[in-house]
Amino acid sequence: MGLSNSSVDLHKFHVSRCMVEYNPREQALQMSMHVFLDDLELALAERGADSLYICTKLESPDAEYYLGRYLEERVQFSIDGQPVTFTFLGKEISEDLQAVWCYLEITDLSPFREMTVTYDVLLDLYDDQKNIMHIVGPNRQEGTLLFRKGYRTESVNFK
Amino acid sequence: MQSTFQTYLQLGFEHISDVQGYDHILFIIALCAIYRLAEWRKVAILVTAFTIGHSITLALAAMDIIPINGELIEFLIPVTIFVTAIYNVVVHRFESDDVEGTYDRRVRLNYLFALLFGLIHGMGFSNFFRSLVMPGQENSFIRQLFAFNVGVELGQLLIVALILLTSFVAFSVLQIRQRSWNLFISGAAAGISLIMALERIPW
Repeated sequence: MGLSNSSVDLHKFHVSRCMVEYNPREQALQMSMHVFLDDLELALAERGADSLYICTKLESPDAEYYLGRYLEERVQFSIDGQPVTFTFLGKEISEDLQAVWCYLEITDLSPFREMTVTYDVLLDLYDDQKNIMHIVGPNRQEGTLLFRKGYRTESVNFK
Repeated sequence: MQSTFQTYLQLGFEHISDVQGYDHILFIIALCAIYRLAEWRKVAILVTAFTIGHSITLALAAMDIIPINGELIEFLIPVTIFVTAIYNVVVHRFESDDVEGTYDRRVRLNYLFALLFGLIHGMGFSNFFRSLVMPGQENSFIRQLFAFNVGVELGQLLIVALILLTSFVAFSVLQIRQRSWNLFISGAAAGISLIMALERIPW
């Protein structure tokens, strides 16, 4: 919001958020991630995947592929010391059409004690980017992690 | 694991004290420009009025009870700074030139300003808060909102403390007169906020 910023930037904040919940019945870690569309498209375009028109009628058939690849690269989980991969289930435009909800899931997961997360979405794009992750772990223990430049990876322990 | 309360408190604190988005800082600077450290009680009333104002609209807008026009609010925020700065210079004069530190204290319009302008700044905070809030159960929402607001208050107190200490140094060490200090600070705030407002004209 400095004097030098363009007016377009004024009312938009560089924040993504992700809700992560362990579902003991399905033995799965389920995630919904909210990312602003313009930021996401900019990040993908910088990697060479432009004109994806995510969540529009003109959406490129490759959009989900590039989005999934980006998320796999930028969001990583290690559970009880073991790296695990997630499945990118799909995406959906947010109610206000400004953002996309990405749905991710890690399956076949028994209750665990420790989780290390890298949530590096858009952190190299904006200096003030913040990524917030709300976690409901096994035993319903809750907390919120804050990721940003210099803090791309965080660990949590569940009692 | 870091609690939700801690995280949202940190986000609130950093939001108001962020030098990149210094409009709220500048408003507090303008509010405090007419006071010296010894008058901290008056500053406390002023800051409390501002807090009441912005807490009301932060909560109402965060709960979708009042609609927010982001562009309009971003424009009005520097306007509140500009008006406060002009008020400082025009209304708060010396009664006589040789009495240091005596402003015309009969006019207390600035308490009202702090409250009303707080309403506008609160809508600005809510704009940011809405991009942070996790959808979910109501009690979790209230916790996030409360923690964010507490963070904003703590950041505000830190800013006020730094301003009063700076003006203390200006008066006692640098021997600057209070009227001169007010003109200097309010003039700077008026200039910066005018440019900011012009850059944010929504129409």
